[in-house]
Parts: sequence; structure tokens; C-alpha cells
Amino acid sequence: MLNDNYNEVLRESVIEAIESLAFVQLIENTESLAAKQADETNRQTMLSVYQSVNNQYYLFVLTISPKLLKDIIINIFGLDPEALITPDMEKDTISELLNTIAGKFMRNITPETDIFQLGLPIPEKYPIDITSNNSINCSFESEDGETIILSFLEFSNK
Amino acid sequence: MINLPPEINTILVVDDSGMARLIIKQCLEIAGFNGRKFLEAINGKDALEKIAKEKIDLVVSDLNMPVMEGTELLDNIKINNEFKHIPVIIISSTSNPAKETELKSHGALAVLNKPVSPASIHKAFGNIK
Repeated sequence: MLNDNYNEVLRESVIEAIESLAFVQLIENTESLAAKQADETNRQTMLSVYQSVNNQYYLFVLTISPKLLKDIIINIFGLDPEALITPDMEKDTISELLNTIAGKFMRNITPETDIFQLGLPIPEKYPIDITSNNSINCSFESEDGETIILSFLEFSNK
Repeated sequence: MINLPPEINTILVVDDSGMARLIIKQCLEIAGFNGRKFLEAINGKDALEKIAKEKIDLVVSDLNMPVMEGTELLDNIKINNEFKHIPVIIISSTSNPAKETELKSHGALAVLNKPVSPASIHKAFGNIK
């Protein structure tokens, strides 16, 4: 069973990371997640596995609209709005955002005396079933209505 | 407050993410390292090659990188008599008090969390001249 605090900590981690790195303000999305995932094939996703010391695993998937990803890249790199954004820049940026979000979450839930590990993010489309009781989905929108979704899954390797 | 060596002219920023390298460089400049020469490396192996070629005064490195990760880079610097004087700052998503203690035992000068900011650098090192 997921810890009651996870949902709030995940939301805070997303908002703080996106605001501090990309200067993009997010508001929580109250629409149904299923509707937002309808055109998922056009979205950029990335996943990463983090391992704590007690054989608990945490999978994070960041799904972000191409338009919002482009806006974030333009903000961070200080680019012209018409600048060419390469696939490498997209992968690089979404990886760093995901690592920062996941790191903030893990730092928050891991006892100060324990060390946690992280895996290198892997680009995937629709990689996991996120409908289980051990998953959380946090959906946000930018001021332009562009969506970013963090999906989280906890599982044990025991 | 952590003391830095007085003469820091060349800083090597090590991270597999180009975005992270840019942000770290900008934060260091705003925090007071403006006017310094910045070099970049994409992993620990690349960093060691640059350290062998250029006189580096400060290494700022991520931990989680392909090919050679940050702890291995730190160990390689600190066991080498020629390079062990170079201060190494770790900036990582996975740092917490336990990790900070471990990294300092490996010779890290300081450990900062991502996302790094000019304020977090200033808090760690004070006024940089």
C-alpha cells in the first residue's frame, strides 16, 4: 500500500523542479487522466528506476506535451522561439527534469541515514500499466494548457 | 561555510546532460565564478582525459553518468598524486545526508543537491572573489 504522503510529495517535487529549472508555472489538472492520455502517442515520455536500500523500487514516468517541452528548452537554453530543437535536446532535457523530480521525491522519503540509487532514464512510449493500486498519477497544465504528467509506481523485489 | 582555494581560474563541469552543464555553469557564474574559464566533460572518463591535458582548479561533477560515474571520477582524482589537490564539488539528484557523508569520505569538498541554484552555491561557499 502506498504511503499517504507520496501523492503530496510527488506533486511538490514536480512543481518545484519545473519552476526552478524552467521558470514554468504549473497548475494542477483536475480533468480525468484518461482524457489527457488520449493522444499519448504524440507525447514525450521517459522512465527511470530508483532503488532504495530495503529492496523497494520506485518507477517514475514523465509524460510531457511536445509544445511544453519546447517551451521549457527555449527557457532553459535562452533560445529564439523559432530555434530548431533537436531530438537530443529533448531527450537531454526531459531526462534531467525526471532525475531532478525523482531525486527530490526520493530525498524526501528516504531516511537521512540511508543511501538511494538512481538509474539512467530510458526513453519509452507508454511503458507501464499505471492503473494499479501501487501507482500515482499527477497531472499538471501550463498557463497555455499544455500537459505534463508524472506517473509513479512502487514495487518490491522481495 | 566551506573554504575554496584562493586561485580558481579553470573550472571543469562534468555532467552527461548538456542542460545540466549549462545550468551549473550559469549558477556558478552568478554565484561569483564569473570571468573564469569553463570546460565541460560528459562523464568521468572524459573528465579524467581533460584533467590530464589542462590545469584544472576546480571540478564540479554529477554522480549518475554513463561510462564512468561521479564517485569513480572522485576516487580517480583523489588517488592520483598529481591531481588529488583539485577540489571536487558533487552536484547530484541523489545526494542526501548519508550520501554526503560517504562522498566526503571519498574526498569530496562539498555535496549539493539538484536543482542547484546561485543561492545554494553562495550558502555553501559564501562570497566568492
